[in-house]
Amino acid sequence: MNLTANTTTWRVLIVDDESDNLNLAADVLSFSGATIKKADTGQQALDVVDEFLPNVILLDLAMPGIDGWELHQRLRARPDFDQVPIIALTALVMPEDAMRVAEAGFDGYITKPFRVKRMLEDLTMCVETFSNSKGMTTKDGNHD
Amino acid sequence: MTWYKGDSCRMLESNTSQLDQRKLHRRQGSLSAKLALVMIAMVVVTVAVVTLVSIRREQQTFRRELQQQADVLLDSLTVATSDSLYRLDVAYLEGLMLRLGQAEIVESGRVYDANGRVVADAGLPEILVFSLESDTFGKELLESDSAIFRWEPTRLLAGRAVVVGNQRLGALSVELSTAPLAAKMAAVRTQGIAVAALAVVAGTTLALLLSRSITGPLRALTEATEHLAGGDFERRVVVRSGDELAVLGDAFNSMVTRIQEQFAELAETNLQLTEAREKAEEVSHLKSQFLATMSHELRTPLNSVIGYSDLLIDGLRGPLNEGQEDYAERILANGERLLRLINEILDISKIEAGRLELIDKSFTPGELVANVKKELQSLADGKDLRLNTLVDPDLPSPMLGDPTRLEQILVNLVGNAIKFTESGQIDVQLKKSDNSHWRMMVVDTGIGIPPHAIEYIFDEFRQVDGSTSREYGGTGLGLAIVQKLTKLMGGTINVKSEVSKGSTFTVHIPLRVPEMHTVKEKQP
Repeated sequence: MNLTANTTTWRVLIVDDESDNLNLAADVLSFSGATIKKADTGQQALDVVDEFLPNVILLDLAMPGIDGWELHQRLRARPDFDQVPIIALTALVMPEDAMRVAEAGFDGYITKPFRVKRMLEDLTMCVETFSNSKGMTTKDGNHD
Repeated sequence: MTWYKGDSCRMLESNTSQLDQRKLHRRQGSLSAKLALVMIAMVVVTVAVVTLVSIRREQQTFRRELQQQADVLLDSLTVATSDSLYRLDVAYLEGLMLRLGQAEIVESGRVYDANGRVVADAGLPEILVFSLESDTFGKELLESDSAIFRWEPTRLLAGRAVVVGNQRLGALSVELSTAPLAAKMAAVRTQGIAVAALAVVAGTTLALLLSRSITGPLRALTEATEHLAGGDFERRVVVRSGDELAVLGDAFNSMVTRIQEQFAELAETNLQLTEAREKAEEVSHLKSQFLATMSHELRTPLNSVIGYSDLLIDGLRGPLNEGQEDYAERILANGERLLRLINEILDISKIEAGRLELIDKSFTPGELVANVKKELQSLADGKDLRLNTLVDPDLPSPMLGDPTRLEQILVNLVGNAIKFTESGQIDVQLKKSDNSHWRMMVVDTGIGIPPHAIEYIFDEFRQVDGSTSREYGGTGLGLAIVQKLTKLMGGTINVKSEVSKGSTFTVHIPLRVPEMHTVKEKQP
């Protein structure tokens, strides 16, 4: 099984209140070679983010307490996370949701449920597009 | 946005009504002036005509009187002079004439002999000698059988022959001054003009009063109308003229009362409608909120079902044996089926609520077909069906439309064809129909649709009969969505089918090309 090869340098913070979905995304990414950190609340994400220093952040949107929208806002307010793409991974799929995500300024929007392979492709594209827009070079050139 | 538009509309309306009101004022002013003018003109013309006619009549009467006076005078003179003329007693005649002249009865008077010569003249007492020449007027008189009257600017010349038996003894003429006549005429004229002036003044006053009595109530009505136009339904008009205008005023008042009542009714109805609409909007909002929540709540567990079965099949935790992999694939397939069902229910709800908006995007027909093939090839392979695709080279590329929804139509149709075909092939063809339409055709060699069922196949949750739903699966929403999307795109769909031979679904769609590509050559 070969998911994709250029995720090995990723440090992904995954935030989701549903533990099954949190673990699923975490497994998919860790199997693909990324370093991951799980948080099941917005608060926990804020608590670990400085210590973990992710270079990709995956956010569920509908969560109790600090939800994905607010978390995105708080992280975006910090200049030290300027170079980190924040991508929504959500079961909110209505056109209004998609529009709101775009307006909020997320760097990507991936919907649930997802097929594993497709999700990794989409996520890679989001990250690459973000890097290109920030003038960064792709972190890993060893495509397989 | 809508409010702003509405407000500017209202402003525009009120501007127009102000303009109309100004026009109304102008028209009303001119109406009263016109009325007065017409009436005054009529009075002036009537009085002038009457005055002129009466002056004329008076003049004629005076002339007749003067003529009679001359006639009587001539009669008496004839009697008085016939003897003297016969004897040619000039002295007597002289004396007579002189006395007449002195009595200022005549301006002048002449006696002519039988030859027309003047023998006596009241105006010239000193001429005592006969004229040797005969006078023209005298001769004229002698030749005439009746009296002759001749009107001159300041006098009336009258004369006649003096006839005794068959003998014309001579002639007489008198001149009467018309000065007294002129004086009388002047008096009558002055009087007439005075009366006329009086009549004009009285007439004008009456005309003005009358026009005001008409325009007054009209102005009251106009003002009331303006108030009504301004939305003041309390204002009533009071017209006490007791004529048609009063009737009009009463009619106006009852009209305003009715408008007021109807406006109140309308306001009430509007309120009810607004409430009903708000309620409907709330229901619709609740419904879409419910659908959104349902979608989210179903997708969340479905994510784990699909995602974990995907991971299982990928064998990341160790390879599965054949039976285990089969189970995992069944879980995955059913998870995906459930997901399709959720999506289709959302689509149907959106289309029915009129909230599904098509996007305009450039796409290539080749890509469209390739995507569909990619998505459904494995399904066709699983049933040993050939999936043939054809894109007409005449079809423009790129085209303009909603590629996601077009793909949805095609996937539903091809998926449907695969579902109902056991062996043979499925042909997918994209062709140009004419300059304004293109079509997507899906031809299968499946079980076909009996004629009686064709009209039902686009209904929601309907398959040819209850049993097919069991046998072939599916949500029963696919074709309903295809039909609704086609309609939304301004297209049509038709079906040809023969039981156990196969079916042909054709979707006709208006042909649109992105503007920047209209002149560009087709890409190879």
